[in-house]
Amino acid sequence: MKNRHVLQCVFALTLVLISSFLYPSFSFAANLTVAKDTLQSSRMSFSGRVKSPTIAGSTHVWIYTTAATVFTSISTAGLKPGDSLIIGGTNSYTIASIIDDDEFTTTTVLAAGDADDTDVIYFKSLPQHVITFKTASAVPAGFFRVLIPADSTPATANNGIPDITGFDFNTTPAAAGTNTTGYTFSTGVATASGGTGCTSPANYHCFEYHYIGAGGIGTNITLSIGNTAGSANIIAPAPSASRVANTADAYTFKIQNFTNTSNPNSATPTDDVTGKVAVIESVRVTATVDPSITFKIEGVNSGASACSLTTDVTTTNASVPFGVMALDTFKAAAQLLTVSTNAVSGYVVTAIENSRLSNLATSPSYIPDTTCDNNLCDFDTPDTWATAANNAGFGYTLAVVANAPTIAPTAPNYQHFPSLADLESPFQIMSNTTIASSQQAHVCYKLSVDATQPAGNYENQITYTATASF
Amino acid sequence: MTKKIFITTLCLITFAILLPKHVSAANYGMSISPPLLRVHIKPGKSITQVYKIENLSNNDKTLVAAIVPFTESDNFGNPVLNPKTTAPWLSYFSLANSEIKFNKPFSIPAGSSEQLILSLSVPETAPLKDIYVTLIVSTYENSLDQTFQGSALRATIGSNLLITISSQAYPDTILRIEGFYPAKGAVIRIGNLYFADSITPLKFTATVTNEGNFAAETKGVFRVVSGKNKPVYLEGILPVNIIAKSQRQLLNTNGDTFEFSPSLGNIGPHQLSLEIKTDNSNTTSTIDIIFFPLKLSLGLLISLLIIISIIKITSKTPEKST
Repeated sequence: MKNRHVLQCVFALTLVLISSFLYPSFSFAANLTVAKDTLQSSRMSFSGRVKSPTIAGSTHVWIYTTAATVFTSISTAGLKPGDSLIIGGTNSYTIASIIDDDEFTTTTVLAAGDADDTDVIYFKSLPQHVITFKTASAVPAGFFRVLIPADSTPATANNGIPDITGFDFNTTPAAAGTNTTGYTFSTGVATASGGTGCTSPANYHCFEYHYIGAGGIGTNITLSIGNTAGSANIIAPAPSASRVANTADAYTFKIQNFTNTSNPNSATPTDDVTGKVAVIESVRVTATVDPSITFKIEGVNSGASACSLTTDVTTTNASVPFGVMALDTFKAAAQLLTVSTNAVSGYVVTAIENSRLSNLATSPSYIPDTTCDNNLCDFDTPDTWATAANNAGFGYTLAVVANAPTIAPTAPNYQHFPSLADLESPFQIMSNTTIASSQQAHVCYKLSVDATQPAGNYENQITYTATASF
Repeated sequence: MTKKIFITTLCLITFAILLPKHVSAANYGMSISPPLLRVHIKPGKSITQVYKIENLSNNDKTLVAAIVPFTESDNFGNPVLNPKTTAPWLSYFSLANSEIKFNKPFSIPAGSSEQLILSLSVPETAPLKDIYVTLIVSTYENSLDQTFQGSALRATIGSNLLITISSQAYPDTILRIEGFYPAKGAVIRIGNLYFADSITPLKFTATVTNEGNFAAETKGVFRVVSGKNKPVYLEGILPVNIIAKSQRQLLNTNGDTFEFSPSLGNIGPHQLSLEIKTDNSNTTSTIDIIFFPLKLSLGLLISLLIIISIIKITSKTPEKST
């Protein structure tokens, strides 16, 4: 009796075992966890149009600020200097500068056929995708499939041009998995949306990563699409048609884990997960430098060389002390003027004296302003002045020291300062018509007195005024 | 060895003598920001603008601020300033600083900065016109050395203010482009038509006159269009301000005169134009140039003459009698 019961139990157990082999139990797909598609750059592509008055032979490009069909980039907000653009459909141009919302310049001039109204402008954003997740179950020697959203028209989804409804396949993107315990990957297989084995679900590009190994539960997996150099990458979408400015366009991606022999178009994956990836315009970092003008005056030591002269006295920023003069002999002095401005119209430095060198302590007497060797120079006309004897007076000239300012007068020609006392206007001695960086010039003074000059201390005041041009 | 040391020493002394030496003790260095302010204001309104004055000198500076009006400028946008000039509307301006006032000295320590808070209040009854002033900040000296012989220096730095008092946002502007010509020597002129070589770069000068009562800006383009009305070259005009009743030279965005370098394909009639657009008016000046391959033709002619000469000389050589 006891043996009979044992036999019955063994039989029942055998039946259960056999049936379990013949009718395996259903396994329900679990969720892969911590799934992410990290883009090397979340930057959108650019799909815009050339607008008149852009012309061939110029580097200045205007773009349309209204969208039309797939040309949804309507601002330069997504562009930055250095970007490589396709303009006109074939030729590449590099952005030199962004002028404003609808204008930029290129480093080379536009070729004929690239500057016509509504010609296309593309910027291809080619970020590497790094897909990471944790496995839910151990699927031995199977494969992962990553699905990236694509345009609904297969030809459009793989033409190397940014799309506005998904990523462009861009012909031959690379796919690779990183080996880890239980997963040794072979080279990934990329198939464009609508290609063999990549028809379901529709409108997704397929990337398959086959592996050998036992698999594992909770294993961290890293898969990639493309490379960091951007040479075998899919193209990020341009702004979608419904996009609101400064907001991201979000796309859904899928990760699936199949057993080895599964047909991914029809089979149910062992595990899967759905995630979101978003693209947005690049953030152009800008900094504002306040406009300003800077003016410096420095003294020059005696014995220095300036304006083809050797100076006889040491000057400071506030004085040119000629000291005691010998008759019919030149004494020379110099100062260094430096001007910088980031004002686009440049700057000007003017000079004016309050009066001639004057001795007001006793009876008024003056050292004359020079009229140069030939009695030809005045406050706005220069002339040569090389002889001290019989040409007494006070005058000046200038010489460029650095960064090429425009100066007047220039050595060896001299003139005298305009005089406020004589109601003369200030004279422009140094200027530049555009932005100037540390432009320097020596202003050199020369004085000569003759025997008719009454003894005494003579002085005047010279005012240098630096202003930005408008 | 001694000779080498002597030569080296001599060189060092020579350099020391020849190189200019700047006194590094006291110097003057001043910066003002912003250097230019353009204001449209309605009568009865007020604005405030902060100016930053920076003392870049290595010593403290005593300065004085003032407002100087001007009415004229040169062709490059530089005001003709006369410190003695005055105007009744100077009373519109004041400094809102508690310590600093116009024409009163104030100090800025070395390496420090000070803010001048300039207030402009235009009365309701102010005439509708432009007013132009320069805010100047000058060095200030009140001591006089009786034994000093020479020139005392006064350094001034200024910021220009172009102010339009108008009840309209964009008052009428009347601009006229003048003197739009190619540089002399590069072209042949017959009537209003210019002939130029098709491979020689051409430079162009032009000025613009503001005949209106309000300042305007020179925004626009220099354009070259072929005979088939196809644009072949485009260059921006440097946007600058031109005050009322004044003239300015027009320059390209690099601050240079306009230049067009024709290529071999640019043969035949071309129209060159300067176009300026303001908020309420446009002005255009055009010139017609016919490009033809002058240099190329001359080269071919000379080559042809040389070849003909060689052939003639060769054919005149007497044959040797046998």
